[in-house]
Amino acid sequence: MTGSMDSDEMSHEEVMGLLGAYALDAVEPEEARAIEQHLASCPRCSAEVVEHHGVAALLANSGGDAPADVWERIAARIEASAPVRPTTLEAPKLVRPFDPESRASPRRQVAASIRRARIRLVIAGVAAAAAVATITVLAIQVTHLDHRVGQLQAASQSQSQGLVQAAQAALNDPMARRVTLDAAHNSRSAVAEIVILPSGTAFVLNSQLPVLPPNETYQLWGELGDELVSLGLLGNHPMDVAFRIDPSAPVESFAITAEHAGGVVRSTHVPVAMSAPVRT
Amino acid sequence: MDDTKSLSDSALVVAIARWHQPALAELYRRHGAAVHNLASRVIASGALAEEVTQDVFLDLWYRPEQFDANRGSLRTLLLTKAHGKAVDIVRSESARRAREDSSREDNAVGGYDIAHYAWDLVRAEQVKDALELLPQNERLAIEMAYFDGLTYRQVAEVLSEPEGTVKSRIRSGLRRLRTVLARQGVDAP
Repeated sequence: MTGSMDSDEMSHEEVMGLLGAYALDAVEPEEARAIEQHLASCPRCSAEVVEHHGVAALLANSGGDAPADVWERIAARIEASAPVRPTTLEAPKLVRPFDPESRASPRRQVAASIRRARIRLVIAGVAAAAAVATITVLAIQVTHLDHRVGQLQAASQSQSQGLVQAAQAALNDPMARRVTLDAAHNSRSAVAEIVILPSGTAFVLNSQLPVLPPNETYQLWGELGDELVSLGLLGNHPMDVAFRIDPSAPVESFAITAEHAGGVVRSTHVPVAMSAPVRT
Repeated sequence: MDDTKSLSDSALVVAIARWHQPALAELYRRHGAAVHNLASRVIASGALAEEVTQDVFLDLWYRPEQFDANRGSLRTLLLTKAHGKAVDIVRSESARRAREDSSREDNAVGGYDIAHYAWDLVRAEQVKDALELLPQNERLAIEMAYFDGLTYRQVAEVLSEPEGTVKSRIRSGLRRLRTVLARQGVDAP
């Protein structure tokens, strides 16, 4: 045992020396706890651990097929817990046997699964027909929007100095939650960030969304329970945009669509960006 | 078009958050083999590796919010989780016994066959080359820690090297590996 293990705290240098071993799960539990305590407040060390994890993942062999019987057990466990599912989606039936090479009709199977997963909300017939043809799960969600367009706090390039300062303060607020919005078809391409303060004030920041024609706008949506509600219009060239959400009804995920200027109550467009789940 | 297959990992995680099982099935198809192979390599027990694989994907199903694209790819997350669980098993006394007991049944399910453990991705060859470019002592320390589930202290003991030397080699080896791979255009998955 070394002296460092007797203490709950390690110096930055001590932690740095152990980051490689930590990333490979090759430290003692006491050391892991002390390192994790340090990582919580040290972005530099956290970033190094992320890098080491990425390199380690490359060492893992990807050959062969995923074992089918393991998937069957996973699916059975999921099925067994289906009754406690929230109401957003009906729990889909099992997709098995899990053998992508031998499935007679994977296309039909997936399509059937998506149909089964449709939202239980009562929807207008025309919208429902459109939804069936929509290609992604999220797109199906977006076609079932709530009836309200949220506070349309339009954005423009001419943000006030006050907003910029408030956004900057939010970025530095340790209580703020940060959510990354990625391009819908490229999970590694962040296109904007959302910062949410405990008060419900939130900001869309660092947008890298391409400029839309003047007669179009980006629209921000939030998933609340089994509804998608509009959180506001972001304009055709979003910079820093403020909006509000109800702190008592936390948004579970965010999406951005491109719409005609003025926004829409219901979107039939596939999102251009979406966040990972932010539920707590 | 197969809709689920066309989605990014990130979009599939969003779908999982909506309890969409085909999304999990697709992610299992994409990453299940890597997760299972890594667990098998570390634990050297087919049955326990399957348990780890099952746990990793059930964990994703119930807690998709743990995926944060800012902290690496989903594949990295799944493999990191799998490695942590596998190492926990290797280091637990009861599992050590189970490991010994299961050595016979492993033969029945194939066990760990190093010849079959051939990397089949194009980049795997580059990773292998990069590993070979590492100084032998760095490579050994990384392999013993990552694949055998040893702590740096255990590695030091096995190699009769000072602990500080081993932990430094693991870190410098990983950094060197990253640099070499980046030069070859290989990014973390």
